[in-house]
Amino acid sequence: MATQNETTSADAVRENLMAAEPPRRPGFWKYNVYYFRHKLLGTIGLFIVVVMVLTAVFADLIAPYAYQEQNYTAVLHAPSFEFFFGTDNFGRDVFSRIVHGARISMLVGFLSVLAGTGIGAVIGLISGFFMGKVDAIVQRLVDMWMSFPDLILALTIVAVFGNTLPNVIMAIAATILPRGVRIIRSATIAIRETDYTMAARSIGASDLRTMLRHIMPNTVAPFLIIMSSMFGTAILTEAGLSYLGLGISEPTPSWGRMLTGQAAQYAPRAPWIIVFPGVFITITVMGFAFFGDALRDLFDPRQRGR
Amino acid sequence: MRTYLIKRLLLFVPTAFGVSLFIFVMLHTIPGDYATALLLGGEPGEAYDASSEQFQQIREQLGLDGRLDQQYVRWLGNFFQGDFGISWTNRKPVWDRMAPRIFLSFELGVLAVTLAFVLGTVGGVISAVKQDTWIDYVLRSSSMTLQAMPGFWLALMVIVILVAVWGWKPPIEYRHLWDDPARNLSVLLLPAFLVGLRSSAEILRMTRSSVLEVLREDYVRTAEAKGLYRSKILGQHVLRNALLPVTTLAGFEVVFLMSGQVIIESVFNLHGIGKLFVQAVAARDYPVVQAIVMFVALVVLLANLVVDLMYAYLDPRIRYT
Repeated sequence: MATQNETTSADAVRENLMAAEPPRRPGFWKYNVYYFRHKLLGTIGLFIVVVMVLTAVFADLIAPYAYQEQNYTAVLHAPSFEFFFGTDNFGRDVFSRIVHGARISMLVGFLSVLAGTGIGAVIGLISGFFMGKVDAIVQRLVDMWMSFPDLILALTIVAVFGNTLPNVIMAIAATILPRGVRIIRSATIAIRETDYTMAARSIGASDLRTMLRHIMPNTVAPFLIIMSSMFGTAILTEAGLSYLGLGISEPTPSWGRMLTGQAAQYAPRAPWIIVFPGVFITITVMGFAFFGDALRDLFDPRQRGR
Repeated sequence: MRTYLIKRLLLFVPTAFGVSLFIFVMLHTIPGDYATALLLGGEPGEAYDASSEQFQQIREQLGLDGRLDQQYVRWLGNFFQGDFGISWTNRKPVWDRMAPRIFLSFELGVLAVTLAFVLGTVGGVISAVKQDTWIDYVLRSSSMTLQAMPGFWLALMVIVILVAVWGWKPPIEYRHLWDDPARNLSVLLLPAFLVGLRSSAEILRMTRSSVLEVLREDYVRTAEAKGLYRSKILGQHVLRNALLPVTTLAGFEVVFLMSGQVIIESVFNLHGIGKLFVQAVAARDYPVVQAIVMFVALVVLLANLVVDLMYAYLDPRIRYT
């Protein structure tokens, strides 16, 4: 049965590649140029995602200075070859802090999205599979959950548990969870009506087996799509929390934290202090959004071109 | 319409109760008896005498005595009587801290929602009508960029540019709308615009695709074939049908705007509910946090109720299903 599922998704991918391919098999370069031109945003998105992940992983090697290193001979130094993005009011290298900040953004983004969509997916799978009373209760709970604005929910959780790294991740995951439930539930409901699920059930597959072997593998596509599109939201929420001073505490550099406090006062004189962190947040969020859209196009041909 | 109204209203009450329970449970999962320990001057986890008279008195004062379910019933009962408890930071009633700030946040929210919908729908219609022209590309890419930008950063950048280039000074003193409307708007208009601008991106996207869909309908082609003016087709045939689904976004936007408002109030140092909330979270002032979260959730639920009823009123198809 597993092979059947593999063929289904493989078929979808092949079909999609064929749709993107011009007639007759083109050469390597021609194909890549064609692909790049037609999936331009997705490719840019993937590029940004890869660069940011690599930056986060190799932050220590990339950053020319330590993030907490204060150089009082070069306070508010304008961008130059010595300090790519200038220095802040403590003489700390903005570029190095951004590079290290990528680490926090990626870590918090990845773990919170994984936890939020992961737990949400399990709940959504159960809710969509059993329908009836379970589903009705879960859906009412999700409605309630979604009546809290993201930032207010995250702030409340931080207020209760304190602003340490795991708690911030948990707070952001909580804002993502209900969306995961919604999307995986609707995917589950669609898949449970398919012929192969019916076939599996008719030969006596148990509920658990049907869920794990037949439905779950087919929710991987929506799962990946929601993960990449929620990644941007998670980064924005983390930046918001840090900006309010309720994210991960100093001295760990975080993009949101770099914009808070005295940064605003020095900004008219030294705009590079606030320009670069914000640009990096925006570019990263956009990258994940483009990548998510491209994934959606790849997995769901009906949505293509919208 | 009446059955729909009753059904929708019946859904509101249990949801509101559920939300209150949710908030109560969340704020009572504080590890240990942190709050009380803190009040007695100790650090969390430090040993304290739980049977002492003084301790009991403080618990009583803070509404922390009795079983959890009793506490919940008492809290909810008081809440609906307008008694939101005592703030732990300054020992004053929570309501006294919230009341003077509600109007500011409400006004900011209304201004922001209005601006978001005006900008979003106008932009979306232009973008759809001029599909695949440079205007369309500019509008779409700027709305995409806006969605990826942190709201507070956008606000900071705008302030810095205004200050550095035009020597603008942020107006500091806030006056109530009824006392001094010009001053009031001069303080609130920019933050409202910035919050609204970010929300307008989603509205623009939805309006655009909705208008494009309607433009392909048969009745639009018929109208064109009859030789009607383009403006008349747009106004009478397209917009009326295309803007209807956009109103469903209003519920989402209210929720989304509130997150933005919390931040923007901090950026512009406006003394609204959002700012109070951030202060309360930083000080771990639980009664204030609890009251504001409950208040916000109720506003959101009410807003959704109004949006749903409005939609049912505008679109008869909803009422009868």
